[in-house]
Amino acid sequence: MEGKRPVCSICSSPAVFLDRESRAHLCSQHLKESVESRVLSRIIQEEPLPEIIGVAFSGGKDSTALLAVLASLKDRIPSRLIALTVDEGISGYREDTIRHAKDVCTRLDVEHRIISFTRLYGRSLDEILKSSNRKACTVCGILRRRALEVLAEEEGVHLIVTGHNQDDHAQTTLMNAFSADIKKVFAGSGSTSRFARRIKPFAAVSEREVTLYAIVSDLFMALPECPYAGEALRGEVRRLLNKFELDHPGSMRNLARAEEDIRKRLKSKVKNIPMETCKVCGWPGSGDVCQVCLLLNEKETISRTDLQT
Amino acid sequence: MKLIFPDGHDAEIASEGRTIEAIILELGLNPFELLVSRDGEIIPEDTIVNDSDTIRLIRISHGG
Repeated sequence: MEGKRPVCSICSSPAVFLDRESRAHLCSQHLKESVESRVLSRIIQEEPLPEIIGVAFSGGKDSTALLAVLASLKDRIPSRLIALTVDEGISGYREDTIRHAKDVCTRLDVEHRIISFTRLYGRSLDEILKSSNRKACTVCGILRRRALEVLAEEEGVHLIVTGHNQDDHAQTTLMNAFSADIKKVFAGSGSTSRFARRIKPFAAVSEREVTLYAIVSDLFMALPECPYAGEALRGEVRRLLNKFELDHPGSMRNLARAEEDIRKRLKSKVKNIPMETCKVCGWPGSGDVCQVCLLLNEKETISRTDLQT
Repeated sequence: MKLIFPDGHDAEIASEGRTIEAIILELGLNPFELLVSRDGEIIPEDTIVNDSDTIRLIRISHGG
């Protein structure tokens, strides 16, 4: 005999989700509607919507769920969707996620474009990291961001949506607090016409809901873990917050909102330093040479030194 | 019941009329970090499980 299974608080169908704060249950259909409604309300804040919306699409569960939500909202969001994937070149990891990304785009009938580090920088992330002392996630983050911008520019995309969820926001808020660097709250908000605008439609959707959305949409695939992920501080912060959320439901949401609140309250008081144009590559950056060129040139210097010794 | 962990290993555990959340907590895991399926169907963590059930735990997030 099947054990007692809770039912949806709206329609009494078998539940798949428990809201730990309200103790309400949702079935798969009402969970999907709840997620889609929050994403739609965030997207329509951007009206008039651009002709094309680029979806930063790694092939992982968050961006897969985001693509599925946007595809399901195509009657409400008239923009053309293009999935934008960056292939960093991580052996034994990226092959499966790229394959999954292609499969998801085919199933959702969404256009898909891929740019690789090898095409853009002449080397894969694996190769770049061989001659670097920097943390893998730092190097990857800088280079991936630029790769996505290049791909967006090539495709005429001026609005990029990313799969960052509420948990990511809460973690970032706490990490910024730990580093006591208020400037990080405003990172990426410097004005430049070259970068595509970025928004996070899952900002008010928990990672749990995002994952469930992918599963009940039959798009979830257990993929290998990034071999470089273990070293990140974010993992520690995530475990800390997850424990806190278990004991104090709603904390994660409140922390994620706090970041938004801080940004809104301080926006008028923070003076964004205008971006400079990199004298090497011509892209906007925070100095006369951008982070990407600094990083790539640093590697070349190390490589030359290595060759001389 | 048979409990299959995210890394693929499994264990026989007496359900004793408890919710899967209570069992997960007893194992020292955080139910907030896991999703639960029974016979391929997702169930909420406050579902009471039976000894005849095969329960699979799915980790929500990975690594850094």
